[in-house]
Amino acid sequence: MGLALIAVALMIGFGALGTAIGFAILGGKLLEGSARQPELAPMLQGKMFLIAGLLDAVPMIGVGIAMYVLFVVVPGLPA
Amino acid sequence: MTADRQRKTPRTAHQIARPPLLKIYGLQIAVVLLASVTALPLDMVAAYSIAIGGMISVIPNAYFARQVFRFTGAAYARQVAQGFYRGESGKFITTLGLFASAFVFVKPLQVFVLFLAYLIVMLLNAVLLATLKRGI
Repeated sequence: MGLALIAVALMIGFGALGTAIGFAILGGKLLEGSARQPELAPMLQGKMFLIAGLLDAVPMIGVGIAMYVLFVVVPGLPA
Repeated sequence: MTADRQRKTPRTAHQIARPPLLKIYGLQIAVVLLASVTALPLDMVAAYSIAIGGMISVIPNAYFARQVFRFTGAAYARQVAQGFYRGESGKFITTLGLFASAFVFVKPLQVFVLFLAYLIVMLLNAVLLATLKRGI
């Protein structure tokens, strides 16, 4: 049971960390691009939105699996 | 005639930028409901598992899109970046809460079907964004 909880913590923690790093880089590049070519800022925003959807797809599945382990697998395990 | 005139007029970056969000999320909800209704006569549990899995994907994505496109333009670049961060953290927490609620409150539940519906709607989101954005 303890190992399952550690697995849940790792899945959520590393998922959040990966997304945070990806979004930090994306946000920085958006600001940089907008400062360099202001007329392209709305287009960059649209493209960033598309990439953001792909970026957090895998961590979100990890979150789903973590919730499954936490609320379905762990209660069924012997203490 | 008007379509020709529209095609000849060059589009500004602002016109290209915003994807048709209402259409994208409306289509996703329609697909989820259609799949759910189709599965209803075969298996009741699978039908509502499809609906729940699909909605877990659509609701956080719609919130994220709402936060991202609250501001547009270089003058609001800082607010746009903040919107991205706020939207992403909200999306993360909403997904976490919705998955947890589904596993705690909905019983019986076909977990494999729920995850499959979630994955398919997530892929559909990326495909619709890429195709509809190009087609504007």
